[in-house]
Amino acid sequence: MSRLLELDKLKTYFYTEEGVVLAVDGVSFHIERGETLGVVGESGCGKSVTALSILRLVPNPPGRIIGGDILFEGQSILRKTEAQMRDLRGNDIAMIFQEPMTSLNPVYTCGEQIAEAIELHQGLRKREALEKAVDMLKLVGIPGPERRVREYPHQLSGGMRQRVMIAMALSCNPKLLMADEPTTALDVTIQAQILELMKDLKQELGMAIMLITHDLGVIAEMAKRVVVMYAGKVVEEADVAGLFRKPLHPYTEGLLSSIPRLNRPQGRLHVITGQVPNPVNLPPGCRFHPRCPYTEDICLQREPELVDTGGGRLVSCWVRAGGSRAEVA
Amino acid sequence: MGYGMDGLWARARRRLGRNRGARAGLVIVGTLAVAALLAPVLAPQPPGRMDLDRVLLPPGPGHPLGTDYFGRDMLSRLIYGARVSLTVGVVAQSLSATVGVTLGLVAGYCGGWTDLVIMRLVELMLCFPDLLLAVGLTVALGPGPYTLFLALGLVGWPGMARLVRGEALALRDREFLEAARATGTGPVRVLWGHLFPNCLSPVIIAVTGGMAACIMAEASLSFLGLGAQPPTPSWGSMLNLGRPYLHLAPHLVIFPGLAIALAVFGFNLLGDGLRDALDPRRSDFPG
Repeated sequence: MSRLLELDKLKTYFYTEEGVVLAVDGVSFHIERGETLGVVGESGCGKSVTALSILRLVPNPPGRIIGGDILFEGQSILRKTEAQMRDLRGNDIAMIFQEPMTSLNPVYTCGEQIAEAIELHQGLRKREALEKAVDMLKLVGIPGPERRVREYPHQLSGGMRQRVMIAMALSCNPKLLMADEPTTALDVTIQAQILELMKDLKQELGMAIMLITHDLGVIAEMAKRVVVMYAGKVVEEADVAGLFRKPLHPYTEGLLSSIPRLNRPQGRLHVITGQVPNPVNLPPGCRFHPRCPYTEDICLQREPELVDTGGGRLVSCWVRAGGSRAEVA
Repeated sequence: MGYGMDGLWARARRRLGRNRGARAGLVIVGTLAVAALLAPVLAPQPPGRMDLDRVLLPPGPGHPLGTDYFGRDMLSRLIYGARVSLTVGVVAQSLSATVGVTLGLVAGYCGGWTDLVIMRLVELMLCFPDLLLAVGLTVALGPGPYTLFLALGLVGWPGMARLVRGEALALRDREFLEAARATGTGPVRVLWGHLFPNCLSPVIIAVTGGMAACIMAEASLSFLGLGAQPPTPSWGSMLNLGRPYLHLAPHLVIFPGLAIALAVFGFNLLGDGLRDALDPRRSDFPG
């Protein structure tokens, strides 16, 4: 059986007045059925654009997918018609967004919004869809679902709204759930509840999750494999345990050492020096070299490839993946 | 929280009920609507019945608002006149709202070239003075009720399009639209099912205000003889007919003038009330 999702050197560029933004620049990774993949990186590294590209919802203009391919169950998403895509969205691939306060339409009740997806994809009548919406609210652990289904978003708290979003996303039993920073806007206790809920539902429904976050703690909690992105590129791919034990890419290393630890004494927190590069004007060579403590001459001149170092670990770094130098040369 | 089971509309209704001006506006507009609907029942006489023995009578028994030059009962004519004013207002506003909302939504949501073309068209239309455009159209097409609808509808849509485009522009990047698209909702349904309801309150406010403007415009055109044609009684044409007798029988202009002022006042009050009631930023509990 083919992999659930496979990105092959995906390139999504934005053509702005300031220049071309290489938001996603040759990104490759895959997701197996029923697996949770974490995608980590700073704001603006292309995580969200990758997700939008998979649904083909990149705002155009200015954005455009200009290269590579996205295979969902072996079929190219880029070659589908718009009608086929609408069929796929919400049905096979669902997405939940970062901001639960604004992701629900203020003029419809929660029930109506969940029911819309069900009506659209499962051809149920409004009455039946609303009944199913009650079941979905029950599934995501909202107390009093019969009452809540008739309430408007402004009557719910942030955590409740995110649960409604999850109910909406899961209402058609998607094979892949993309969660774009699903807990960032929530406070810590609610975060834990929502993550727990997603974990349980994954067990129950058997879907794959692509979890986009900048929070490595969330990754450790949820994912099996991780993809680390920096400035539109995948810089490292690894299983979670391996990544935390021994990060290969200097950027990952920096990220990990910036996490405050409870179990050892610490002075100031580690920071990665410098700033995220301007996406219109990326540094030559390795995009991380201006901030990297291990920079060598070659890093300034040539872009490293993503190299398999064995055991499912891929890294794109001249210093850490020595083999690549010989290969390229 | 705190609203229990009710939604946005119930809240708007409650706020409207608490606003004294809006209540007054609602009463005036309601009275006019009832008068227009039940004109044959309410009017003491048919509006066209002449009585040449009793011309230019001042208000008094038998004719509470007096009679005109042909001995027609003024009250009956005013009641039937409400029909003309309100019909013109409703039809013309429906026309301009339909065209304006559609073009405004499309322009704001699609952006790019579509927006550019539609907005240039809007600006072109806004270059003409409203009344002049209406007068020109009426002259070109010949006076009559349909011309009136068309002329006033055509004058109204650019403003509506501009208003709705602004709203759509502010909303187009909101996440709930993204979420709707991500659920597989098609573009037409995103536009009308998700974007439009969120622009509804300014549209309602604009339509109410537009009604007042339409009544004024209809009166102006009828006063100039370009609106409702005799023997249809219209407030504007009654003013015009009464003008030569200003000294002899001032009630011929006073009452139609009052009717116009009252109707415009009523719709404006209601519009202001709706503005407050439908403003989502306003809280029910100040402070």
